[in-house]
Amino acid sequence: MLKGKSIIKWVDQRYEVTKAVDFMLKKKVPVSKHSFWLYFGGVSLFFFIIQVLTGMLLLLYYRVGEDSSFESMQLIVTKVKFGWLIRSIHSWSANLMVFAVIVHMFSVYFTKTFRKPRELSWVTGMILLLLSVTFGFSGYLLPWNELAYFATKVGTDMVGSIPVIGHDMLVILRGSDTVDGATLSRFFGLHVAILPGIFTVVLAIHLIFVQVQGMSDPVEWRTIPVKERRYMPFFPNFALKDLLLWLIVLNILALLAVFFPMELGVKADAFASAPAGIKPEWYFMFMFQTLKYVPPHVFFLEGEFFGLLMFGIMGVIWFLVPFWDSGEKSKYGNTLLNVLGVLLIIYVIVLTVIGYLE
Amino acid sequence: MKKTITILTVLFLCLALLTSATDECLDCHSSIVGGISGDKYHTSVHYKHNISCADCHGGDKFNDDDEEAKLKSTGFIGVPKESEINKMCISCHGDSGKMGRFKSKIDTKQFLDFKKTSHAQKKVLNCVSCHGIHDIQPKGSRFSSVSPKKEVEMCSKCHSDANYMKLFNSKLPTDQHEKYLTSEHGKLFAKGDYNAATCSDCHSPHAIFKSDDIRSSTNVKKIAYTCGNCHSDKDYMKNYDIKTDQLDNYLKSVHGKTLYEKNDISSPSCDDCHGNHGATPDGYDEVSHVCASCHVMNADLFKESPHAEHFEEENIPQCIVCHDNHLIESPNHDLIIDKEHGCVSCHEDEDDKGYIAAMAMYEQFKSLRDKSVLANFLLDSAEVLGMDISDIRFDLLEIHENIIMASANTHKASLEEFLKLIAPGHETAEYAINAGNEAIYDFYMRRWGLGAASLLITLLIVTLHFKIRNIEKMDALKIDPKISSLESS
Repeated sequence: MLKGKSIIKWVDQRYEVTKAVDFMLKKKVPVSKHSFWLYFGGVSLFFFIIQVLTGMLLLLYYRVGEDSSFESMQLIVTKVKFGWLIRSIHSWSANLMVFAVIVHMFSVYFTKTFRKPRELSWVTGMILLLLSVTFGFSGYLLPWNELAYFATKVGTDMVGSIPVIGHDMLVILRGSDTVDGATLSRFFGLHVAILPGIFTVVLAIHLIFVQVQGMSDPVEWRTIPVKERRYMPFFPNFALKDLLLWLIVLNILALLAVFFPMELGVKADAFASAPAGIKPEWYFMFMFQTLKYVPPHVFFLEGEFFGLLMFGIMGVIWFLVPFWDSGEKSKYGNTLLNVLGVLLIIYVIVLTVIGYLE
Repeated sequence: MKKTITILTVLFLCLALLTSATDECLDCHSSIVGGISGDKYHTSVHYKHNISCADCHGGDKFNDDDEEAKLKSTGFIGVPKESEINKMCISCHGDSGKMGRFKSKIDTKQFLDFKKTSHAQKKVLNCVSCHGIHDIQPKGSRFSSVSPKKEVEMCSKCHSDANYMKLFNSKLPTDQHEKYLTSEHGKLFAKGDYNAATCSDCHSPHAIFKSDDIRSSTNVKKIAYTCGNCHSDKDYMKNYDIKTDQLDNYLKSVHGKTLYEKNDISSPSCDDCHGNHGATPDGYDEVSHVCASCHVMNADLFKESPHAEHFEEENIPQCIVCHDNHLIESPNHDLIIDKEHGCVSCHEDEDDKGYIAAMAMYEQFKSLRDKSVLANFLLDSAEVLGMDISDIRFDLLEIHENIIMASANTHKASLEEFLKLIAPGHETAEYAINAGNEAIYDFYMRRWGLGAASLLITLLIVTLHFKIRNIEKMDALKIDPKISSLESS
């Protein structure tokens, strides 16, 4: 015991760890009817940790290449001990992570916690969301199966619709004119090196912001006397509740992975005709479905590009919400944000459902 | 009255004059010009049906003036160009209306068949090449160039001439005629039996195509029916003391089913065993030995068996004793115990060494088949559960190989060798059964493993929940001193 204390002392003398520990111990989290939504940030983090761990295990056997990706995935899910479980957890966790990040984003949006002084927490969070879906898009191709191949082809084709630079961008993205081994190598590099590096840095910044600024008090607390406001200690209360939810999520993840294991499908064949019912990942479905309704030409622009341009503009507006939101100054500021948010959710859900029913 | 008689007389005379009008073309070309054509024409079927020279050559047949009769305005064409000959013939022979007037039964579509053939497309032949020109006889006539009697000689004129044939297809043999004369068909033909098959009976008169062309009557998919045209006809075959059930039996046989149901054109048809022009395949003196040309391994093993010598001595045909000839059924291990054709049909006595060996072989096959069925059932069940058993499925293919090897070895009738060959099959089947059971066990273990892990996590969740409640309770006591004092009292 004495030995343990002396180690802490040794470290503390050099790095002042106790200051950080004291800070954590004193940190408090507001308790309100919206407290549940605060946990989705932690859940997203939990899924990211699972992704990193299972991704590392998959890397032990996965071999990128037109002639080896599918085969190595086959080896993983059939021969490697618990390989099927690791792969299934990785796939399910990827989807659930995007879901958790989206829920986290909307909870921050509706509870208005992106407002001053947390504008940059929102911005870094949005970057993390973008990185998460890019993770999903790049990882989807790696098993090199038929569905992934054609979904990636359709997805990347959209880049080609950008006027003037579209084709060059498409070649940069794919590594060639079509989806092939070069695309696979790029997506692999993106998925296992570039994105994890960027994601970890942005995530660290995001977490530092959250820790430094603490959790935002709910908007409705403006009308509540200070003494009636309730807080709980971050440690151990909030941390344990976080852990509780993580365990529940882990249980759900295990059930999904065992009872609904992800299929590997058939190997991609560039010369085969596209199978019927090619669909993107569920989080791109609303965009995919919207683009179907856009006419071939809008003004002087290609319909597809016009659609993407609109999504881009809407994305930037959404991205910059802390900077154009009138906040507490406007009478109808909160109502406007709530209406916009609800409309967006309805739009995304309806278009996604139509996409799957078609 | 007088007037009426005069008019009738004039009319009668005119009619008589008209009916007695001679074909001036024929008249000159037979007598004055003295051409052979005119003489020959008198013997032709066309002459008998009053078809005149002008019907083919144009011109005015009633005009005795040589020059006027051949004026262009009369449609005279003289000697027709080669390219016009077929057109000329089908102007009548392709017209069912015209042919109907002669009560002809000749098929008016024969030219449609002919023009698709290489004979027509390479412009090698036209109608007159086979049928003759002026002395065309009805097919039934023994004088016809296409009568069965003359047909073989006519076809051979080109097809036996290697120099001529290499102008068109140097790969085509030119010894068909010679071979034909060695066949049963040829021998009967040589004896003057013109009912025996000749060239057009198999190759058809007009629709002659290469055998690898599906339109050909000698194509592998058609040849059985072509042979059956005669060999299944009881009336036609009544003088030959041959059964007429060969086609029916062949269609029911493993060869027939493979060819027609599985569309496997490597399966043998009539000519593969009986030969085509020579009517016996190369290298075999007996049709009953022909099986060895495909089933080489079985034949070699049979030669090593004690049966071979005995069969030879007793002049017993080989394969067909057990397998039949046209009605060869799919190899089935039940054949071993078939009392009509199988091993036990000869080795009837239960103490007989052959009987004991046959029964042992049968039991081995039966047991391996049962194991294979069980292994497949278990693997199917595991697959339905989502387990990967592709490797074991692959291994299971070995059983099939072992069965084939052991089945072939039954021809050698050596129980010792048979047991050595079938043993790996049993091992593979047992391995597959174990692997299938393990895969199913693994599947349920995953569920149990998940259940255990899930239970553990749930226990942790519950413990954590109570821990949090406890901490919150303690916090509440710290915040509210009244509660704290009440609790302590």
